Amino acid sequence: MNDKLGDNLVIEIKSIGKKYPFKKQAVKDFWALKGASLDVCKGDVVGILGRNGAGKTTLLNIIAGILPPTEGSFSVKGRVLGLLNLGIGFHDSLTGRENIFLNGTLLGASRKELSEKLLSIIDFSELGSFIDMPLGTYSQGMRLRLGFSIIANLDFDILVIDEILAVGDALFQNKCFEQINNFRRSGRTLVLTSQSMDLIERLCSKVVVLDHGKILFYGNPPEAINRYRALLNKDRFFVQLESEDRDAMLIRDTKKWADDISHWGKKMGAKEIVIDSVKLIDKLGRRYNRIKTKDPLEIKVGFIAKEPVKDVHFGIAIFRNDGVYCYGPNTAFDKRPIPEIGRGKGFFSLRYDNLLLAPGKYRISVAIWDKNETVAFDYHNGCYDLIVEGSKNPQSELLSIPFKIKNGSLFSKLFCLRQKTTHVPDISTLADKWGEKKDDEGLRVESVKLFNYRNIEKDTFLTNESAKISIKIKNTNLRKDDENLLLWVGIHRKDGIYCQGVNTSYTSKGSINILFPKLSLLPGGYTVSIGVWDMTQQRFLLYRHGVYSLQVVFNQEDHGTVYLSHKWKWNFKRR
Amino acid sequence: MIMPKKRDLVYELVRKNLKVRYARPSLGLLWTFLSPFLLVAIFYIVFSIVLKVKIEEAPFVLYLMSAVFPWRFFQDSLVESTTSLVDNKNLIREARFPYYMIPVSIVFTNSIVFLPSLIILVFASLVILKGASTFILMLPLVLIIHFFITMWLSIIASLLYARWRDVKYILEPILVLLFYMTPVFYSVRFVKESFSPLLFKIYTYNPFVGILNFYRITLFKDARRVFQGFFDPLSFFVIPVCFSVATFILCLYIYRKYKNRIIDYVSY
Repeated sequence: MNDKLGDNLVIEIKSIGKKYPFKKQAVKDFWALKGASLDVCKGDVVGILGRNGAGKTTLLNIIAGILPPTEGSFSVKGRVLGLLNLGIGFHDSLTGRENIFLNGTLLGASRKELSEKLLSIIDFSELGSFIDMPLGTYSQGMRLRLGFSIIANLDFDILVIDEILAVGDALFQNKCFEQINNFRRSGRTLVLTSQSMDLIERLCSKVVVLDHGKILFYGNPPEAINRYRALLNKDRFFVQLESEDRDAMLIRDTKKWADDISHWGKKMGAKEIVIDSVKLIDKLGRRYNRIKTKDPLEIKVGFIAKEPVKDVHFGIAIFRNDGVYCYGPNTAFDKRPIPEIGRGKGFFSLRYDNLLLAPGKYRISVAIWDKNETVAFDYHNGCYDLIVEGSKNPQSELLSIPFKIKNGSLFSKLFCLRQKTTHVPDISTLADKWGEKKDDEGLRVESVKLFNYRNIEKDTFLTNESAKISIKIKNTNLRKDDENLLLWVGIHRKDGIYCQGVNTSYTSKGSINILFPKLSLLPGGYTVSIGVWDMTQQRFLLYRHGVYSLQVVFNQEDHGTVYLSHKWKWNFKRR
Repeated sequence: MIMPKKRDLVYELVRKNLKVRYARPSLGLLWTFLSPFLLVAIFYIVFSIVLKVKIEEAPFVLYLMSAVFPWRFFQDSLVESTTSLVDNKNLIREARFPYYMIPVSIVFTNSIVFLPSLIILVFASLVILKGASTFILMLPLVLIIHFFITMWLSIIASLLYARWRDVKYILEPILVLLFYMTPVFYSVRFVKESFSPLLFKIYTYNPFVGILNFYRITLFKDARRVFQGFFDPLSFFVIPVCFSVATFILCLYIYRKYKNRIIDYVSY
């Protein structure tokens, strides 16, 4: 069709875009696809990964020639079959046989071609004498079988498939899968989307990762899948993080979840370097995996390099047992270049000065990556248990960042010191009250403000900046300050993970200030909640749950929720 | 002119349309005769028996049939085609084929439905008038002109409706107006006598006046005699042909303009 294409290139797409011009509607012109370029060679099986609405179907439609792009150019060599749905044009009053002709001609086949292939289509569909019954009598499975049989027997050079492998029962899916494998073996070019990363990995030779209409990545499947997983984890919280052009130097969000906790315990990698020992060392230098909250922890990793390797970096990540990403520094983020590693034994270690994690069970991943985090030399994913010990943690807080409480009057300050707040409000009573407010007739929230170290009110903080939460709650009823009242201040991640709670006795005199000398939260959105808890009635008299928002940004790339100050050390044979 | 694959597609679409329409009713294809005849019967009762309209070209039943059948073909095709692109948006969004095939297949379907009643009309006029018109050989010509005008207008209407959904509601009164502006149940002589010469001139520019009278000249023995003296027989032919060419150009222009946007228009 087009002589400009090279011998092997069958699809060439040059910065195409598809705009949906909406007028007088909520959304102004929407670009479903923008600046997408793609080259596909003959015989390639290209998978397209992307969240719903990322532009997958738009891209497929353009390749299939159904949707004309708004801008850019594309050329396709050979006969394209667009399979965006099985059984296009099927009509219930026609028989199966008649539907074969209708569907086939809609897909671009001639009646002659269809007559020649009629027998093999009917054979493949396993419909037998049902082929002369009206389609209305067919079950869903029979319709799918018929629809797929037509495709399977038509001639084409390029097949474009959208999610069809998601339909039908396991047997049907298997049959489709086999047929698609046959296409692949016969050297035909396939372009397909699927939500199943497993399927994409098994079938495809190249994978495109799409996000918000842009091609993020085009290349080998394992890396693409990693990128896509990272994207899923990021997007779970920040669907509308559009202001990236502002303060481009500041990191506004970090990875907050493990990729896939079902992969925990797996060891992967190219094995040029093999990790042969991982030791957790407590403050006394003992090998021990139970660490007290806020104690130091050192993780020492021994490895053997079988080949000399360049451009390496080390990474160690801590996850909570449910997959919440706590912290994952690596030597690339920390800008600590590692010289070339020679053959032989070596070790690296990471020492945390204070493990600011709340008591609970955690998992540690250890990895030695190449420069771009594309290839792991050795990757022990969630293989090591860490238990953080301390006082009870019934609300499953994640962090234990040091703070000070300053109450308004000297009197209550003294009072506060005397009274240990061992009692903790039950915040599970607020579980379904996210974003809600409740007031008590006696108590009224006057102000809740966030200040930085210069006493400037703000809601965006830099990681490790000092932060003060100042709360004023008036007691209008002139009710006596009750010893049974507790003030609770909670910090949640935007996705609802409870980071930390602070409890103090309630006072109406002046404001209550909670000071975090180093708010070591990592970039992302957080919320501050407050509540007044009545210990005798075991309920909140007043609350503002998830109402005050708090943004954290950072000038350094990192993964996780909390920044833990740390030091790297290593020793190995150099070349 | 039509590529074999496109021809096959039209064939399959027409077959589907016919089957969907006539497979389930127990009288089946008989309805292609019955429904136009019922319409003719009603018109006959209203205009001939109640209103006592007089016609000189032919017996009133024949006169009605010669207009109602072609008119029905035109109106049904146009009305069905108008919404066809939007109705078939699933096809447009999922398969790659020229969109205009959908209205084209509807016009073909209706012309197939029109044919049997036309054959009856020819035989009826032969029997009742005891002879054929000398112009009967021109019948294919008028059919072709009528067919193409219908097809171009149907494609235009379907494209415009995809863009502006008001088209359907505008088209309804226009069709009613056009029906009364066309000599279905009255004679052209009647118009000539009641209108001023200028108004009559304008009236004859309605291509359907020409087409219906063309049908009548080809079908009815000696019908031409009636028009002699006040109506140029050539205008029966020239005006519809010009109109057909004009609609074709308009159709081409609108299709070119909308081709790449139709999928957006029908989707939301």
